[in-house]
Amino acid sequence: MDVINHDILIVGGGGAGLRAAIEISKSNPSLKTAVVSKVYPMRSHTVAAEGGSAAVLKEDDNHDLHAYDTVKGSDFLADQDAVEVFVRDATREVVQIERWGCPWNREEDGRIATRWFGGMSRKRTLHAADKTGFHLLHALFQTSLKYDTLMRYDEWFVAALLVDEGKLGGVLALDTRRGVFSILAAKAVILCTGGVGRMYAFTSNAGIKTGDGAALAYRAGAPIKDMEFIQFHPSGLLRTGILITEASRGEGGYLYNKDGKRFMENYAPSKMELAPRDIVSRSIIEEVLAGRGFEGPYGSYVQLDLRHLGEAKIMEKLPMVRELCLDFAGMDPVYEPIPIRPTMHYTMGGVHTDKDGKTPIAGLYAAGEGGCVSIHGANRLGSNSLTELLVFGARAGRSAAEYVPISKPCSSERLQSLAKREMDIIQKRYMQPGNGKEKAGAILADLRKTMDEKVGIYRTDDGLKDAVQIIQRLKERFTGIRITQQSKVFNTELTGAMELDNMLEIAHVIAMNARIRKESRGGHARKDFPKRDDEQFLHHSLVFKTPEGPKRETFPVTITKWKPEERKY
Amino acid sequence: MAHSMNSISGKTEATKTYRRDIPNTWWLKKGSYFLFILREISSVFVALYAIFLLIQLCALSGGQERYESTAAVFKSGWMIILHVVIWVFVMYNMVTWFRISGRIFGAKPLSPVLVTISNYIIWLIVSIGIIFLLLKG
Amino acid sequence: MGEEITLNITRYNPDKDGKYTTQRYSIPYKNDWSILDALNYVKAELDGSLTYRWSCRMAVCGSCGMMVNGTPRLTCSTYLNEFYPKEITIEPLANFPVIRDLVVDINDFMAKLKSAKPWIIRKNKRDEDDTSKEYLQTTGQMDKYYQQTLCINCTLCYAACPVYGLHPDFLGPAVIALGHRYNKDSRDEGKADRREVLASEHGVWKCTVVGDCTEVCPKHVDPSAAIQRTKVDSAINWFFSFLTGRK
Repeated sequence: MDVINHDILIVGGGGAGLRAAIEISKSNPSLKTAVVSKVYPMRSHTVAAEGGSAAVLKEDDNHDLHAYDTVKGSDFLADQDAVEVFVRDATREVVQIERWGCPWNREEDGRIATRWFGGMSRKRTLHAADKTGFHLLHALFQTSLKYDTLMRYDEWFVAALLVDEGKLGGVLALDTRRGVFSILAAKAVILCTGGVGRMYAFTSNAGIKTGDGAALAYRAGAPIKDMEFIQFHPSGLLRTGILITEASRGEGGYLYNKDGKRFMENYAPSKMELAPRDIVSRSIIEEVLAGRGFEGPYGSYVQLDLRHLGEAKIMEKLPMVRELCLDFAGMDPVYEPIPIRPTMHYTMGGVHTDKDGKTPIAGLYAAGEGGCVSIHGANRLGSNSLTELLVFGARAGRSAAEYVPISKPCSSERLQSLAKREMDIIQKRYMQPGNGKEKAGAILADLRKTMDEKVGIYRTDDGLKDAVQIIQRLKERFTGIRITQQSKVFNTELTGAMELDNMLEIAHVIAMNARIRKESRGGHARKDFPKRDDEQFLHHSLVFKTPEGPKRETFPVTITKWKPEERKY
Repeated sequence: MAHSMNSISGKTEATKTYRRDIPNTWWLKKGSYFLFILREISSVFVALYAIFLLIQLCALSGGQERYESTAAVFKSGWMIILHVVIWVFVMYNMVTWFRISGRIFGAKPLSPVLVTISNYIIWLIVSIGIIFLLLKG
Repeated sequence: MGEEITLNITRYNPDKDGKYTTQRYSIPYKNDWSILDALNYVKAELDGSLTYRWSCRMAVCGSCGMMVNGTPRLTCSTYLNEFYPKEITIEPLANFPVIRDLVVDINDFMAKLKSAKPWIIRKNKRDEDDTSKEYLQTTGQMDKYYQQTLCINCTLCYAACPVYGLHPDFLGPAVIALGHRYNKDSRDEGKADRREVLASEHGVWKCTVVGDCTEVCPKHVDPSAAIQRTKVDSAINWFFSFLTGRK
């Protein structure tokens, strides 16, 4: 098999990956660095983030306030030392991306403008209309083009990490265009592969978000952390689950139930519509369960009303919301309230890392949604994730660049034998055309249904027990998967099967963890254990892959300044 | 090996791609392409008119006799028909370029519509001026 | 069985027979399905080998552009009900080499994008990575370039541009629009660096103002206008350099 040598590989070309790539290219152009991504970088799902990016920039704000808001939002599960690093670096990072051309909205005097966001005690969310992720990704991508030393493997699918005795040696990757597997050797790999959204049916996430990085790291022996914490965004557009940004509430939109009441006053009287996402999402479900939701052909919903903002403000601050409503719901928010219900949106958990993106495997790093530092704990505040990409992308890039000169590469022979073992698995699992009976689409549909119904906003022991069993059965069914073709060129049936396998792997961990965590905290809400239980569960969950199945350990939460307290808004 | 910041999968020789031919009749496939080709052809007629004008000017400088014989040619039926055709194409050429000028100069704070309309207004004023001069003469 | 709709989809697989053909699929008609939903249905239920790109399904990632009845469209936001009960022809984006089925090779576009230097260039390089303070920029200054920032690189404009089809060396609408976007950004000082490419023989002067790029752009970037304005800039620059004898 071909071996191509590198110093650092970045898997994933979204916000975190490109930020890491730029950091390395800028600080040490002599390092042989490449971005490997299963899609062209500007297709990455960072592109779909809408509302904004939080950072302390204004005179009335300070780092402690941002940190406290984040910690409280996390339901006290965030590591506070990491949060302090995060808020401090955030200020610098948002200015840096401005210097790289991000068209942030401006104040009258030309300085960067900010808007309100859920759970934030200050107006600290920078934004580029409601296309912030789009602008941020394209600014990063276009800036990355100026580094001639930075290489890219576009539309290459990473199938396995090659780890030799606890040390990273490279990856096995498929060039989808040619249909050929190669060894991409590297002293360090940074996983920036995003979340797991596609394992849910009603999700704001793109088709590419299949938890690849978490599965790669997990199979290679790295622990994945806090996977049970899934964020449901309150405003998913009915039918598709497409995101309607929280900025629509930040700019003054209201939520109404069927009785025409702003129901958030019953749940979060001081923050109203701008309570954190977990709380607003649960409130919507409560309204629907109490019979106060609207009913329609696409199920129950509540209304997000922007009409009082007026056309001018909507066009200035929320143009994408209007575009999305017109294109995907056939209605105009200038004249009608938007039908919404909570949509799976974000994976708080991910590959376990420290503040510099390091995982327990030497040379393996992770950043962005696919990593878990953790600064989001049990619930991420809106607009903290775009900032996270920048902060921890850069930090992971820096720490990998420092690690590489002092590390030795894995031998080519060793890599070949590791790759051969992985190739055998791939051949057996995904490339046996005609043998199996199981349709990938049917397994995926069952997985998504199970996750929606049993590992959704509210969870119960019975439901989670079912979910674990169903997922185990789906994993068995997967071994009989039907592959219809052996074509090499752009075989999306093959990559689709690998993605599905990744999702099944991680879904199992999510459901198992959710069942073990017998408390309600942030995005993890148990009907049978409605209270937070700091005595038993103020810890992170780390899950390792073992031949006997997933093995869960606990990991302490770092608390510096802010003692856990009751979380009320 | 890898091009810097170029996709490595961009080694086009690695896979056989299919290149579609563009038929010579491509401009008949779509209204907008057809109108575009018409605009391109219209420039021939604009040029033709310019040549006619030059011929007339030359004739004028060559004395009355020569001018009158040239004018006789221009008064013939087929020449008048040709001039009508030229006029249509020149009008078409002008109108399309007026529209494009909106695109060129119509950035904020100027709206493209405003630019185009002002073109028409200027055109109208100039035309009235010429007609006035002609009638007066 | 309810109503059905017929899709005529281009097939091409260099591994199989290498023939460029059209395959007909009859699928259930749902009036709220996008073309992309229909393709996903075909792939999941009828033919796992059908190959196309898609990702965000909310018209922002730029992956799913295809020719729908001859016009370049984003298939995630083009609906069956626009065509029903007529048949729908779905082909790979025009003017690009086809890799397989509905997947085209856009590496030419990617290389051209880099050549136009779409990033902030400062005379003092240290400015570019200085994080001590943001540049000031008024809303009025932003208005001069903002429209062209909205390009999602879907390349529909390349599929619509006959000039690109006939002269593949042409830099093309989106790349010029993005070069123009940086030229007009008050934070940028790299206009002269970009001129070499934008005003080259394969640059703006190749454009004959067909205008279809602007018509098909799903984000209203108006690349045609950007090209014409770059022509004006380039002409003015030429004129002044001619007058002053400077390059």
